[in-house]
Amino acid sequence: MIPRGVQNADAIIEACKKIRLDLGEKAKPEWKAILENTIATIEDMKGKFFIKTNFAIPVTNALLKNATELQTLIASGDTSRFAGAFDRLQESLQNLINRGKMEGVSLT
Amino acid sequence: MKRPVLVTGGAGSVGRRVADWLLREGYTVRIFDLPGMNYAGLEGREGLEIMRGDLTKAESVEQAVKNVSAAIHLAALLPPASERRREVTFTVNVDGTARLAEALRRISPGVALVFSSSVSTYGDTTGVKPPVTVDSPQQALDIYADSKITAEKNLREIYPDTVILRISGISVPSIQSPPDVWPFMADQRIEFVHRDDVVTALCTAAQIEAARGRVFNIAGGVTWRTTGSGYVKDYYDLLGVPLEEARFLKHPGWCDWYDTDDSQFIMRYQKTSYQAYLAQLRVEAERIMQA
Repeated sequence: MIPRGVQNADAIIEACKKIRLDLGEKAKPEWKAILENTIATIEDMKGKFFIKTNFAIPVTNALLKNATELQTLIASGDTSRFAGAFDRLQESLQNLINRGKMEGVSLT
Repeated sequence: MKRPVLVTGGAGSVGRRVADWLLREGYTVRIFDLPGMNYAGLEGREGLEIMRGDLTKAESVEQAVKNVSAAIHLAALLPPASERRREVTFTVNVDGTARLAEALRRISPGVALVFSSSVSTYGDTTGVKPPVTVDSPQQALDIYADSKITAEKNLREIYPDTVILRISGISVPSIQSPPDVWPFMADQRIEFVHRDDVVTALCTAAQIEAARGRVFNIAGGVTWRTTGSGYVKDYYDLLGVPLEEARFLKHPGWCDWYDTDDSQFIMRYQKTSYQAYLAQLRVEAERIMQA
């Protein structure tokens, strides 16, 4: 069975790709950069142990929620709230990066 | 003014806890470690002296052993760093240890010296009936173990009173990323030991006269006796990761079950059962989930 964190990661990547496509010419450079960074980071995280753990579930849930919120805003055409939504997406991504470090080894 | 206990490698993760233990018990401590180490949280503490130095430099070691009441020698190159260049590992782990023992013999004769060796010095013991005793032959599987075997041999000549602790794998009660390949086979016997119990053993060994000149295995005791897959499964269950994700060695590593009757009788260090360790991990996992 595919771990929930990995399922979320795939869904986040798909959502970000769709947002990039739907925004098209309306996308500001900084928004494009956030989307590219999110996709690249999640692709990288998919190869890490952390994403398979239970700890990845709440943080990837949050990220997926942020991406879904952006999709809803794009669908409604409400551009005034885009900036805030992108900030939240970036914040969740940073949280995932921090949590995903799991630095060190458990044995010496 | 009380004479300090010297802790080489004292700025490392175990060394810091050794220093804490000794300070708590009313000792003064002299930490000796490389200048490049992180000393945050150590500097300025009452009863704690920091001496930045290098085991490979005679002058620095002679300074470190002056007026000490005991020495706990933890400083060493550990795997994986120890496996890169044999000569560097031997310079630190063998020559550095001999230099420390010689300096103690000359400058602070008669004080207790505790040496942190390793059960990895027994090599592959999978074909031997457990538990592994301190009389079992030593046969290195890697540079690190080889350096510890040589260092032990030198110590018996230079400082025969040295307490040699052959320490098993240390389990730390925190959630960390596992190694790419676990250093044992899935069906191999393993018996690790809780970090805090190792600290107790190291400090107690320096206090007890009956430990002088002896060799001890330091491992967790019967509650810690399991197999490679059993240990990893417990850890992965906690993280919600299936055991199939784990990769094990295809050939035997150095792990086994150890005879710790003598060490436990003298040092009374096995205070944390494996079940208690798992409970600590569960608390840590819940903390992370709720953060």
